[in-house]
Amino acid sequence: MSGERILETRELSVHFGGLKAVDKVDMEVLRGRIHGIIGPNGAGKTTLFNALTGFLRPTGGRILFKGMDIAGFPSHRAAELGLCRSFQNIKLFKTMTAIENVRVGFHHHLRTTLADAVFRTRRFREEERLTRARGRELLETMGLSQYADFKAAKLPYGTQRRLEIARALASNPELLLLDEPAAGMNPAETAELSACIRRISAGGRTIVVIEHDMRLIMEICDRITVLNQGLKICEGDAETVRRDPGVIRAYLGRSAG
Amino acid sequence: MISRLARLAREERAALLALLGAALLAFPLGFRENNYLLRIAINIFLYAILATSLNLINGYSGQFNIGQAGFYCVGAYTAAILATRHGVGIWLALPLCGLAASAASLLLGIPTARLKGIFLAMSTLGFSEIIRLIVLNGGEFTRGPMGIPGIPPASLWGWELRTNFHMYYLALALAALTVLVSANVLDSRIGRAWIAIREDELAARAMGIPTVRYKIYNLAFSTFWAGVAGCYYAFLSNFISADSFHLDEGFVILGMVLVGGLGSLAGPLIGAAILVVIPEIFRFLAEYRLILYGVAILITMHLRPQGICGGGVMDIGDAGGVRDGEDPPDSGAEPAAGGEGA
Repeated sequence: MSGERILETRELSVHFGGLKAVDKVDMEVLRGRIHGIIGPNGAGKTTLFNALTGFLRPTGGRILFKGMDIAGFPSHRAAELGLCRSFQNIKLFKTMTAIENVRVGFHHHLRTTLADAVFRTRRFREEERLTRARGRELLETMGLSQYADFKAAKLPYGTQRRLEIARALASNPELLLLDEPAAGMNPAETAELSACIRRISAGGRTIVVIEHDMRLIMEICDRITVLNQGLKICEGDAETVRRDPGVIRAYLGRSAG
Repeated sequence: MISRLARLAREERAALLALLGAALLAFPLGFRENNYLLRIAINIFLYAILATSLNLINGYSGQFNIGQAGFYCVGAYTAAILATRHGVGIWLALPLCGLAASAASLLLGIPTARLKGIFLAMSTLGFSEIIRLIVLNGGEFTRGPMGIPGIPPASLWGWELRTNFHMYYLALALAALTVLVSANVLDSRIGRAWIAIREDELAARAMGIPTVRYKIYNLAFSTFWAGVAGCYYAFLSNFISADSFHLDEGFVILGMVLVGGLGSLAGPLIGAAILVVIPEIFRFLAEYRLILYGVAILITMHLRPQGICGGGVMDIGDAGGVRDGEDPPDSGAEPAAGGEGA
């Protein structure tokens, strides 16, 4: 597969004492693609995400984002660089409305200072208007328009997951990392999510998605990385992964292989 | 009933605010010579400033500060020293005292920005006591236990604000300024970042908010107003001493925020009014009046844990349109199929 590598890990390791949660993983994500990460529970998928987004400092190895080594950067810098994530267990700002959640996502694009806010300067007013309008657009993209003024905690589960994606999109990331976006969704919600992810991808963003829902992964991903016990055991398109004996063994146990 | 009142307050907000403003402006005209009543009103405004400032931390960025009295003390002593030794008038002293309190807050905020919950609370408590002890043992500079007397009255272009009648209006103006400026900051990306930190610090970081910096920012902004309140207090009472800034003072301020409601603009104002007035009504109980603070907090926690105005009853910014009472479409028993997504 050709194309520009937007994200690369080289021998990336995250160890917790003796536990090698992620062990020398090499991974390449190509720009504009949807890249899946799968693996049994405890394979190190979320740990890998945490390392990629600065929530964990890698024990070793490098993370190259657009050619720059970002390993160990503070997590808030990730969003500034164009890397934004969603969380496995939904982390919305619960008492804020849907639209306000999204508006927080614009944070690092705004220049409003304390003085701007106090004196309601033109910059303040323009940025407020902009985030409100752009926020509504994003809610619409994710099919959330009718929820704009409801508090996040009140929304149905699948809707909350989509709101998390809308919020992440507000930071205008080049690379969007989704951690189990379909967890707990029913088939109808999953189908809708799948369409959303495709739409985002069609808009030119690169997406990395961790997911247990194999149908979703096989359907939307151009390339899939399989982790097991911290090690990368396979990488390739859906067909390659499906047939790989190592993957089958990891999922079904040794006797099946 | 409270929710119905809240809806009324939301719908008729501008009219109610105008009415309240007019009432507050007119109130002293009838009681020009009644120093007792004027003093109570002044105390309400003074504590409204302090409670509003504390609420910016405990209610909006969700950190736990119980040592606001320390910053109040910094403001008061800065004012007293500037006024008695350097001839600085109240108008210049007000912002300087705010800045002094903010500067002091950095000494607390920078080393403790990564502490959470009870650990942060304990360090704010300790810091407040440290400030009081420094003032108490400050030798010539703070005059130790003797306090600083002889603070000249506030003056406005040569016109001295000597009476409680005049000081009432200054307190009202300062309280209004505190609330207004706070409301403007809260309804901006800065305020949203603070609330985001309160709601979920990890998610806030993932959205690109440098949370440590914003927590320090929040503390400095909050304590600015505590410093302003301290400055007003110094000019009001002409004499200050470390005795006025015990931890109890911090607890009283915290009590006002808890009773009034964390995370709402009206909450601390109502809390301040209630906790200033109640001890006055129960004056005959003498020393035991302090128990009333505890009782008031207990009653609130039991009947309405979020405080009188807490829980989004009177929110900021876009809240005018928040649909709080109703359920969103598609929620409930039926799983959301969502029409327009696919």
